[in-house]
Amino acid sequence: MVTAIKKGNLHVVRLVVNGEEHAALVKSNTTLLDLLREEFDYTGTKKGCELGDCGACTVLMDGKTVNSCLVLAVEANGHTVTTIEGLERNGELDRLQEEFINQAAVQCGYCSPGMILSAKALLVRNPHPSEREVREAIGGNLCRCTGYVRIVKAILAAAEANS
Amino acid sequence: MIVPEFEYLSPQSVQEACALLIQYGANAKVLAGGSDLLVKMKDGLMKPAYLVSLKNLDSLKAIRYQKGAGVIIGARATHNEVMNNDILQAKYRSVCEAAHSMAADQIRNVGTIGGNLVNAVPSADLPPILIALDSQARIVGTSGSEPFHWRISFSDQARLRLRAERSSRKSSFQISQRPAATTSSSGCVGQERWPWPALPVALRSAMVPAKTFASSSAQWRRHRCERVRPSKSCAVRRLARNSSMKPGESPRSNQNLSMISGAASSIGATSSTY
Repeated sequence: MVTAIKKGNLHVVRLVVNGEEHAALVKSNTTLLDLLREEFDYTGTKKGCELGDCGACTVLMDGKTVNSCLVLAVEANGHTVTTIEGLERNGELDRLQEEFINQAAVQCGYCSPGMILSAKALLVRNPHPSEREVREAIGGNLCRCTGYVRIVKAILAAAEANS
Repeated sequence: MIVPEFEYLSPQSVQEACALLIQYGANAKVLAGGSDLLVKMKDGLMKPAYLVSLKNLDSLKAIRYQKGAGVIIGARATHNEVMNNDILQAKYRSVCEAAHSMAADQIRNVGTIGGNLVNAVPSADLPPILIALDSQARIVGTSGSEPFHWRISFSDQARLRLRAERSSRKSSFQISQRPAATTSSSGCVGQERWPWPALPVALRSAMVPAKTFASSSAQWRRHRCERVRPSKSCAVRRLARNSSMKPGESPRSNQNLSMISGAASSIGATSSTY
């Protein structure tokens, strides 16, 4: 169990982001989203509605999707976080990212990081999902360009490539 | 959008959490998943000076079966943990289905069953099925005495109330949620009739034989389609017609049925006001 250490009004937060250990002094009301973007420069995590509706700020915390706008940085202490920057390996994009490009599943691109991370969490727990399961997995991610058809195609293509 | 400033407290035990809630009274709120509380704080509906985090209280996450008592669900179990739990899938599948119907994966990974109950919003997915299964909330304080058992029910007011009644003595408290609410959330349930702040620590689901359960699950699914109906009497009539109950069957099933009807019509009535 990792307990947050307090220094005055600030808390020491240690967490592993994309395989790298990070530490920061944060205020109690700092969200994980702001910590990732402002302190650690992982700006691939997008700021959308900030109320947990749009899913643009989706990251994986211990492998599970969360809206980072609704997680306090102090609550993320001791956890492992994966952002969109953490998906590439040795300069190569993840299969999901490749398929988003191949299927032209990106329009403005603002929802893409969240979409891809939600899809990643799905494919880890269920490597061969049905279309319905894919649609449900991205149910918390809104695409204002409404490009869902190609997004679903891209995720199914990535699942196909896994097999 | 900024969360108003507060002091963050992370107690190491349930007793410590209760002590902090007593110390800070109405200035403190309990933080579990935060998916409701932080939104309210961002919207300016709440501005607690202290947040008491349940993050370190892992004992509240357990879901276990206890012979003679039924399935006990920790208040900090997330919706996805409820949904994917093997014991609940085998014994109370309708609870898993209700948890599954809640929000999206991101929220289900952080939102907790305890928070969902005490937040008491009219559109909550879990309370109706927990009422239908005659579940009880076990609430603990700092008095050191045995935790009390509470029966949960909805009133059918346009403003939703989640009422928990102590079965052993004649006293009750309620968690209420009004439009543009500033009432309690995420576990801080200090109310006027309750002398000290309390934490709901577990839900104890009463033993329901598998057969009865299967039937109540089917009723529930049927009723989910019906709850959009505006007329309460119409829904009740329809339920009575659809009921597979025979004369002389246990009054318990009867009670479950009427509770479903009351809860669902209350949802129908309140959702139209939003």
